[in-house]
Amino acid sequence: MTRGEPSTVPALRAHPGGRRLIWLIVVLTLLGTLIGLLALGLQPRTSRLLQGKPAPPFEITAVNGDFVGQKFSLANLRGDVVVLNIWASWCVECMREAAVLEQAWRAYRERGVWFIGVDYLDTDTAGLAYLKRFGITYPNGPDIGSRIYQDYHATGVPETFFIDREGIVQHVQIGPIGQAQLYALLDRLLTKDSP
Amino acid sequence: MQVFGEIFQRLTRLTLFLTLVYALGGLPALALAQEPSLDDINRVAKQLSCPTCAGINVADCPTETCAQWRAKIGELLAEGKTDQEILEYFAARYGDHVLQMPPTRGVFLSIWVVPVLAILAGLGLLGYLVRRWTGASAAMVASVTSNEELQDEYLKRVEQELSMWRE
Repeated sequence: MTRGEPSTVPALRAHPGGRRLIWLIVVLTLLGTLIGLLALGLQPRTSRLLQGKPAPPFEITAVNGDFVGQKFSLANLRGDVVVLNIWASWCVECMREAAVLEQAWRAYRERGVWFIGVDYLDTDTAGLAYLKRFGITYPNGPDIGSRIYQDYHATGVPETFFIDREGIVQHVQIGPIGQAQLYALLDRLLTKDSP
Repeated sequence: MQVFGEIFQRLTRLTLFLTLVYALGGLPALALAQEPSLDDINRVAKQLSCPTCAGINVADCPTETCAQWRAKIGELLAEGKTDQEILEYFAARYGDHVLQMPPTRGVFLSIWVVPVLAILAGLGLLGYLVRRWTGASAAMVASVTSNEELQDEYLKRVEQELSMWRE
């Protein structure tokens, strides 16, 4: 633009059609932003979409067995296979898989597999009673602020995330898992990238 | 004198005994007094949302989760916690979304701020439009008036010229 030449916006303002154009641009921008935000909100956010992606970081403070008071995070378990199970004492389906998970923990713990239990929306009393009832010995801790549940986009309980040694989510199990499937998954993860 | 001394001693012992009995008997009553009532529990529970169902508060919810939460509220009330402290405990433990009344911090702040801003923007827009419309109508009235004046002058001139012809 050379000196003395009128700028485009004032020129547009001066013209009656130009004012309408400015209004149109403003309205379209606002509408576009609104549609964009809606689209973002409507985007499917389910845990399954995490498969093949890096697992979100987590940290729990264990409340049971030999691990009371110990902190467990994805960072300090890197190099081991991690089975992250989200459960609740009021969840009937969780009870169906509780014994299977404990058995698998005992069978695989020496082979570099960590089972981590995340207690979702439970009171301390109810959570501890559940752990005692099913004799669960692998580290379990409350999901403070429901952060882990949200970060993993869990859709309910139980949900189990199988994380490989590199920290990548290899499988997401929605609902209870059976013994055959669980053992097959663990064997696959252990042979996949054995050190 | 000895008789009076003996009576005094016996009375003292009786008083001590009765005090002890009263104190021991009063303990359960005291505990009962500290036990929160269902109304107390529900007062707090009504301010929390059921985390596993939509649109129901913890007081009105029949699920096991909410039964456990009500029991926890009872425990915390018995410990002497205030309603606000209990709500803060639940928000910290399970997330802010469990509160019926959204907190005035973080993302939830927008729930409070956006409607106010929208109302203010709406009022501003309305004021602007009303001013514009009233301005336009005033201009229209002015232009109509000036047209009438012009027409009057024109008619006068026509009359004048016609009268000239008539003469």
